[in-house]
Amino acid sequence: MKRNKALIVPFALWAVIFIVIPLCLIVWYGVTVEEPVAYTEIALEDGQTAYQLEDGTVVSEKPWQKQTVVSLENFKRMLEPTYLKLLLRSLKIAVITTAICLLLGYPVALILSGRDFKRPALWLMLIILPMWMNFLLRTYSWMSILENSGILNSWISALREAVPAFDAWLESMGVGKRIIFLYNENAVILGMVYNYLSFMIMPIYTVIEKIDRSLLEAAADLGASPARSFLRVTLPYSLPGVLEGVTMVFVPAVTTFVISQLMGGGKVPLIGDIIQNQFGKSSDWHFGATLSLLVMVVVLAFMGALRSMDKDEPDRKEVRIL
Amino acid sequence: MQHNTILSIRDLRVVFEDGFEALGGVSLDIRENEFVTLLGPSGCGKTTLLRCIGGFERPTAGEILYKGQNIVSLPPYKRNINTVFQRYALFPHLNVAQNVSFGPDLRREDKKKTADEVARMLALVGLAGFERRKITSLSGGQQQRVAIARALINRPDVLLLDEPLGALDLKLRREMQLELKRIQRESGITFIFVTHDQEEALTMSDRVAVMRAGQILQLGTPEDIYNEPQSAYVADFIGDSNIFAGTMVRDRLVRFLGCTFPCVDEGFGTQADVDVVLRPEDVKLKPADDPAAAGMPEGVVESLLFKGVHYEMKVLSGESVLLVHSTHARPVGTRVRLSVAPEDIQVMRKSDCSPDVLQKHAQRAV
Amino acid sequence: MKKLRKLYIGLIMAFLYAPIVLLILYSFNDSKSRANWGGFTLRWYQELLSDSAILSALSTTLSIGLLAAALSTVLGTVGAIALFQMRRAPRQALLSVVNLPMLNSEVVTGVSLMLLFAMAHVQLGYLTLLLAHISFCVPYVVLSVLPRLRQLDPNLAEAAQDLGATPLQGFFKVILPDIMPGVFSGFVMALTMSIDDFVVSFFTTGSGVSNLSITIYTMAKRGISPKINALSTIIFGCVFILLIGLNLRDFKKDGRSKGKIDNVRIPY
Repeated sequence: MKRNKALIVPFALWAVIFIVIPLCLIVWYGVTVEEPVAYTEIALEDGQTAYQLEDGTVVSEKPWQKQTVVSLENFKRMLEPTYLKLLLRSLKIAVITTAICLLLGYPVALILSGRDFKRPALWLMLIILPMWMNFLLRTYSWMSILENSGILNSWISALREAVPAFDAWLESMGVGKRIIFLYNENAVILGMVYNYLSFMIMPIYTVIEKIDRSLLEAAADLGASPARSFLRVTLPYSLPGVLEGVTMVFVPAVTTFVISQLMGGGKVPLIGDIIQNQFGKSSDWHFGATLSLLVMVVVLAFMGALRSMDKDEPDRKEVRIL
Repeated sequence: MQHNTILSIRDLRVVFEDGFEALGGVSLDIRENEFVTLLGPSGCGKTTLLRCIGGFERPTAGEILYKGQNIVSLPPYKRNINTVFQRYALFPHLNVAQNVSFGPDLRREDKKKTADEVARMLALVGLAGFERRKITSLSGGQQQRVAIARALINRPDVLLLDEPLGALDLKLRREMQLELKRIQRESGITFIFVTHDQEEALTMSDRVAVMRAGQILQLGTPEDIYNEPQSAYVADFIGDSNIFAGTMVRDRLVRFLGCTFPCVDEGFGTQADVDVVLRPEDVKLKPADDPAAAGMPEGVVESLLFKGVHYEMKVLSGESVLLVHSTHARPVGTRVRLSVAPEDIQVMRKSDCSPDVLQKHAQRAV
Repeated sequence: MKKLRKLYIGLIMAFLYAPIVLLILYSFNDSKSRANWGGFTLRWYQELLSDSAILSALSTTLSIGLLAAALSTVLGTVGAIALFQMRRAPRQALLSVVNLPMLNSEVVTGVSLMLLFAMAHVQLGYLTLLLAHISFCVPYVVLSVLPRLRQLDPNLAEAAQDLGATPLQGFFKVILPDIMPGVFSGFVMALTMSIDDFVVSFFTTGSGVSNLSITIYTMAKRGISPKINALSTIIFGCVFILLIGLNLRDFKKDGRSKGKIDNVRIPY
């Protein structure tokens, strides 16, 4: 029976048009800039001026066209301190976010996969449920709590009125009438942790839950304390889940521009914001593409480093279906 | 009784895309109502041959004549040949009856007639009343029977069975062997059966084809294959045997184990290199001082195992270790002489399979 | 120790749900200064239902979501089968290409698709939005169908043909029913991904076509509006009912990781 190779064609075509070509376009835009076409002015006999283009044609109007030229100018620009600082800040915030998610999320996965924990599926669903709400709404919910005239501040001021001692204590600490929670790095990190925590919990849970219980029993049987069998069995076996979780948190965290704009109020611009700007206000698609390339390389390098810690899929014999 | 040839395989060759030759020119005639077994180790090409007959593999060269017509280019769904797959390949989302009626339903046969036929088939395989059961709730043996019923309901002329008993435990295997034989007799369908289990092959088959490295080494009745193996390989594969390199001194006289034995074989020429096969039950152990055995090879009993029907002993003689089956136990360390009747000595030409071909096939099997 | 664990889970739940609960609560708040409680009202819901911008965004989100999910499920299933039948080396190559959008950040995917549409001179709008959504959903469908194919009995398709089915009949009668759970979970995943997406949509829409995410983004940048609270409440209610409904059976059985939960992959 011949394998039906016709199936590959539409699929491969899709992959080329919507994955390969777009990425090639980013590379192309990234390594090119637009320049006004070069020309030389020619003084004509009647006192008027003509313009000669490089290919020799002479026109009477001043050339306005632009031409696309291969240039590494944008790479130079990218390496300016302004942009490097932004990249570093994006990386810093992403790393902090990932670490907090891991510290908060791993115990959750561990506890939920515990044998004596009842109804884990229900709890897991409750953890996922907020994720099914719109991403913007999730971020927005924190904005409405933390903003200057938000819920938290109104509660605090109500408490201040009710308890003068608390008010006095806050005054002595130098806290103003309205506490500014939003529009700083911490707010951005909070927004990211809130949005991405489930991405950390799910893959770790999936992996821990699949660990053969007899391994843990064997460890206990051989006299390992719970702490020791955690270190020797659970932790190493859960590593693939941790790697997946770290990827799922780090990648969006390093490139987001929504959270930084809503929670940071534009005061904590990240690399994603700059990219967005290039395709909006500044409208320099070439520089935007260069920055996208940078982000792509950073992310792929990060993933490559993680993947090298993981094992490859085992070989499998070919099977035919159609 | 006159039998017509139903399938005629002519010089079939299969070379895979990676250049591996799975079948190297196999020819085989299969008669109506016959139970033929393809026997050999994994990687010998037996499954590939079966897949060619079923239409799942396109041979590189050669012909498969079905009632005189070449069916090589016919897709599986146009052949009146059905297959029972190694792991049954039952459709998990359908129940027993729906699985069995899959073929008739595709042909849009009358529902009522099909239902009766399904019941009849399930009764034939011993699963009457199982119609509504889910596939996943069946045991391995029951799934096996469903697979057979699903194939038989299409009234194929030929049924192909690819190691169908491989997944069953020993007791069930024995049961199913008898069952399959009964079904074959009652249905009158030609069975082509693939297995690597020589005992299974000998029990069930009318004829056995022993295969190795893409070739059929020997084709014959179970009795022929067991008693008259044509090569050391076949002898070794079928039952336990002792194989020695020997020399045909002249007709009816062969030398091995340092002694010369009278035998019944002729026509190898003089001083020809041969393989000599002795079945363990044919080697008789005599006391070392038995005058009747003087001149026979000497040996020492190295191990003794009780096997129920007989004792299994290993006897060291010179450089060689012989396997001996006997109802008479001899303690370890006993000095013995080996005696063999002339008609129990099997002499055969040196095996003609080159070592590197064998190695390739062995690697493929892993 | 056991209590400590429960306390910890409780705290995490509080962190996850506190903002949502407050949002729901304040959606019924009749007060101009949003932080103070001014009595119960359904005013914001009425205003929401008369806000044509939000309503049209909602319908865009739903229609794009359903269309993108359906089309990417078809394409992704076909792709998974094609990939599955390939030899190892080309399969790995194509698979890495297909996985790229998942590895890449959304910003890069969005930008790259925007450049593609610009190059092809396609006016940004509903069509480009739909195409973009299909293209980032397909990898997730492939990812959820492939494992089902791997679990498939390798002889299943051959068995169907052996019994007289043409390859196409065999696919629809045998293979598709067997991989259906994977196809379904791929569809659900694609639907969630599409409904939740903001970044890719932001780059690939235009001509006034705007989905819910983009509308909320614009509104939130302008400031907090209780209308969004009401919208959140409605969406949360729908999601809650939907997810509970989908998983009800599993909770009754108290099955560990059986059913949909296992297949849910959170979109980002």
